[in-house]
Amino acid sequence: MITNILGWIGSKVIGWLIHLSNISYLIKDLFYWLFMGPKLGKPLRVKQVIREMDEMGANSFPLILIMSCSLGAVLIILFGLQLRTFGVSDFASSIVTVFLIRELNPLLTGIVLAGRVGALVTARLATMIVDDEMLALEVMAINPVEYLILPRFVAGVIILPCLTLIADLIGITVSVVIATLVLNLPVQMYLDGVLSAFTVTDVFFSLLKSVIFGILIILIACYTGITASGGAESVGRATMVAVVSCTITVIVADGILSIIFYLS
Amino acid sequence: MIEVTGLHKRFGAVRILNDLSFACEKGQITVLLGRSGEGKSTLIKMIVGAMEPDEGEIRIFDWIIQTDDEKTLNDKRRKIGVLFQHSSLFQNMSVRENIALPMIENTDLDQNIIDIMVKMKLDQVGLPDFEGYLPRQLSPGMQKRVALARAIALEPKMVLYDEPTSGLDPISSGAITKLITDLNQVLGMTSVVVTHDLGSAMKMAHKLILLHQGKICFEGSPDEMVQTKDPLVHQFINGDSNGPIKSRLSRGEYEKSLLESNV
Repeated sequence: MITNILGWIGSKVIGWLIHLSNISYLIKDLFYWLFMGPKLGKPLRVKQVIREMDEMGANSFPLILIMSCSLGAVLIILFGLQLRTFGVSDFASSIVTVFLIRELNPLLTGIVLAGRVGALVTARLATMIVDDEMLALEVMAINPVEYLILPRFVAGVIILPCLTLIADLIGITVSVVIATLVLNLPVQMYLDGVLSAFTVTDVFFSLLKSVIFGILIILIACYTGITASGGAESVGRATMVAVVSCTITVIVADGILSIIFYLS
Repeated sequence: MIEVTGLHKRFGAVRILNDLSFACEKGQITVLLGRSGEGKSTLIKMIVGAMEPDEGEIRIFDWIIQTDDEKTLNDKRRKIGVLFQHSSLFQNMSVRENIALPMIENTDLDQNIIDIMVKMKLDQVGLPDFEGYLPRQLSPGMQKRVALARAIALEPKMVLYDEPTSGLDPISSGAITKLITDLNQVLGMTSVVVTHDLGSAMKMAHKLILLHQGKICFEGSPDEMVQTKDPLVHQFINGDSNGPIKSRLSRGEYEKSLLESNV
């Protein structure tokens, strides 16, 4: 019994170490093509990066819009009403701003994109593996990491902070509107509160988190996609694994990064 | 042109190729026959350097594929075209983009020249005016032709065909067989064809190689194959379920074959 449990733990640990080792090779290849590609006559495929950004970003925008609108509205109503009972409702603006910028928008944008972009990237790459399209690229002397993964990686790293900034903007705007129209807080007072809570450091940390989430999501999604094997069912399985792994990784990374940022 | 020497490959306990050696002559069509799972597609992957053999070597144009770094390997791959079993066309690209891709990536040709080349390649495979179509808008036979046009886009010295006629109706199958023969006769391309389709194999092959249990059990011309007295070859030609090639193994036989493959 104990031998079985130890064997199971051992096989899991070895499996994870193999995944980590493979992902580190993928990172090495990505940076090789990013920095050495231009010298080898293979500069970053900007058109493909823009196409991927459009695919990942523009199509995720409605989700981000709904999420940030409801977050802004819910937070201001929650804090506005609670703080009013203590007669300090003017603090609501700064609390909502800090909540949105520091924590909720980067995290929830990361989770939304972990689902949407993780599924999109993994399904596409896994399908290419199953249909031998990746092999076709290789035999045409085209490196799949340079051609397929690098543009997605760059697009993901750029698009996540952009969407987080948009979510910040929408969330705060909605909170201002709700605070003024529903809670009858003076606009000028609310905006003063927003500006006093708004620090460049918070925005920087928020964007840094988003960049890290973007890197993690794309790496996991690409790795899961290119390691899919088998028939059509492996595409579905790989997509499910990617979405779950990306979501968990974003949540765990958010906790670790928040602790590091706030304690440093 | 291709020289395979002492090739071994196994997946886990199952031995796929067992000391396989053969040669494909320049300008000829060599057809590899065998049942499913005999390692024919694996062999194609090894020839293009996408899979490593456990032992043995593959020489193409006097190059040893396995010893090359990626750059040298890619230089060689540009001289080899591959037609995949499921066509493996890029589904998000049009026919024109699919055929143009190897030229865009591997040459410095002007876009106008590439456009003309794409038209020429489509003409060669009998699909003029299909540049704007997406692969999913084409029949499987047409997709194979587009994949063939892509395979010959860089005018390779050699083309590898993995099951070129599988899943096609007899007319489309015949058309693909004729294309392979024409490319060989007109452009002098050396061809290695992996297939189950005995009819098309007999029509196009200069040399037939029959694989069984990872080894060659017949090597010769189509005429020699028909005339041979080998019961194994006869069973394959006639498609008999009874004979030396077992279609179903008993438990004891399966265990024995596993043990033998482990030796």
